[in-house]
Amino acid sequence: MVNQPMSRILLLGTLFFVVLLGGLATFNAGWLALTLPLAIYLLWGFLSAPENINLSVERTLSAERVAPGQTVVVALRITNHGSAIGQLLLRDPLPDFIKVNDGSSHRLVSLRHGESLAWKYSFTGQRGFHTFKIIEAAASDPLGLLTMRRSLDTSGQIMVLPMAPRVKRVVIRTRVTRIYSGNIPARLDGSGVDFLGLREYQPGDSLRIINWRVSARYPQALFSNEYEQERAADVGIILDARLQVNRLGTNLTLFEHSILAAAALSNAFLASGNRVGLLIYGQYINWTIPAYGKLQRERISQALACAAPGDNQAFTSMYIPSRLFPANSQLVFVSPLQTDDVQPLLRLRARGYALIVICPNAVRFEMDLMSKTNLSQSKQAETMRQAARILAMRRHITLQRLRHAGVQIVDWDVKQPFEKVAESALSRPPTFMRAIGAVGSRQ
Amino acid sequence: MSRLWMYLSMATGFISIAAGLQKVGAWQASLSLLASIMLLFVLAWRGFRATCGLALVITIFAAAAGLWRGMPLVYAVGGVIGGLAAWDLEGFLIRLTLATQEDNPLHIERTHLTRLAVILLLGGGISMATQGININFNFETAAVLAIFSFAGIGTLINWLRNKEK
Repeated sequence: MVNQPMSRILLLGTLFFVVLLGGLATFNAGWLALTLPLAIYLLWGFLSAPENINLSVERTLSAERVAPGQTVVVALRITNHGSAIGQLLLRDPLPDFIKVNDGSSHRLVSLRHGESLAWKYSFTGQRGFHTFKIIEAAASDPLGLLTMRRSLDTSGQIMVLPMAPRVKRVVIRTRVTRIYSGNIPARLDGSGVDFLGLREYQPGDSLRIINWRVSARYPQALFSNEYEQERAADVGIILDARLQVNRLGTNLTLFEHSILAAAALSNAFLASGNRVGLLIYGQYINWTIPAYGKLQRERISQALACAAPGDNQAFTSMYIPSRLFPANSQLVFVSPLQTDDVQPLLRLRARGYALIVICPNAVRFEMDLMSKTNLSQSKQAETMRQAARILAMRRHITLQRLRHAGVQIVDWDVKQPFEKVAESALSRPPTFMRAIGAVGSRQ
Repeated sequence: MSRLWMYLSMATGFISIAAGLQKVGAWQASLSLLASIMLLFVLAWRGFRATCGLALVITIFAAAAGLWRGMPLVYAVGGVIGGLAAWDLEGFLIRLTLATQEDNPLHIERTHLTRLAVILLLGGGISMATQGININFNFETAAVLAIFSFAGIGTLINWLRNKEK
């Protein structure tokens, strides 16, 4: 609402009474005459002041769950059940992530008794969740002397889901799989497509799995191919929402990029039939219990839509319950990373988790932004470039330490589309797995 | 349009009182008032929200001081009406920022200016008409009126405090 610098009626009333008392005290008729314009003004304000605010609100939203940039139309109908209001200021408070495109979220109108106001505006939004709880109303006389404020109860909610680019294939290898079929080789023989080994033919084996080349070398026996079962796995996605890691400057954050990566990967893992859970590690620890399917995708999208960075203690205190993310399952950690985060990640690795770290490159992100501003031409530019080089080296060393511990790193320059970076880095098993033969070769 | 009227009203109010002060020979006060208009214009232009409130206080006290020194009432009333109009329009302009095209701000503005003109002309007219009325208060009547005034202030303050709650 409009903030008046001082209560208008208090100022005018004080001036009126001071001059009136002065006139009476000094028997000065001129001073008394001087109060008359003020008195008429005050009287007009008192007489036309609203008695009460008795308004009802109906709200309709064209959609409650939208993608970023999708237009939502808000239709409001406000009816005055009380006395006539000479001047009514109405404001629909909106959060920062919503941008009004057409119309306005505030109105200045006058409403007679029984009159209704049909009010429409449209907006688009970036990721977020908002509940429309109130409309702020301020009724006043036409001179703005007496103002009554009230919050009108209303309902409605809007959820703008995060962008989730489609990542076609993410290859993971976990030591433990679940019983349901999926596309992760389970190191168990059964129906699958990856070749596992050979065994002697047993009655009942399909003729299609007999290995004729090997059988030809041994006239007394027949040999059958064994295939590796493909099963679903447990995947836990940990989104680092700590403010100190994500915030790089005023209104400058990598958090939206992290959200995008988490959304894209959770969709990819769920589409492959895996059981996926989400942990958002910000001011509070927000769990989305692991589950399968489209419903879980919706749950994760909603959790990501509501996620906001917040202050938190160090990552070292984080506890991952093995009931939710069993040891030896796959964890994906999405974070710009700090040097202090290495030890906790190594501990997770030591507990047997297969670990992928998606690391948006904060140094390059800031350098790119700096090059777009005038700062790059200033005298400090060279100093800042040197600082960036040092930070890049520190980051490289941090990532290298993790790589040596068997952590799969996706170093993401956020200028590149995430789906491309993810597909080139995660569509094949990591080099060290191929080197130790942990990956079954296709026949 | 309202902004232009606000500046005009402020200038008119100050010039009216300055002219009245010149009539009674208060040259220095008159020149100070004229100089302060420029300062207030700069403050208003820089967006200092209490400018017109300050202008209203200055015009009322300057008008009262001028009347004390024998300034003709018409200058004093002209000054107060100018100050009051500027102060009202300042508040109105703040409220008008919330009006959208759908609300027809031009119509709102026109209606408000008409209403304000009526109120101020009425106030000024009655004020000038009182010149023809001559009432001599004795001390007791003045004391009773003063008590009523104090009671009025008390009631107003109480009412405002209750409203805040």
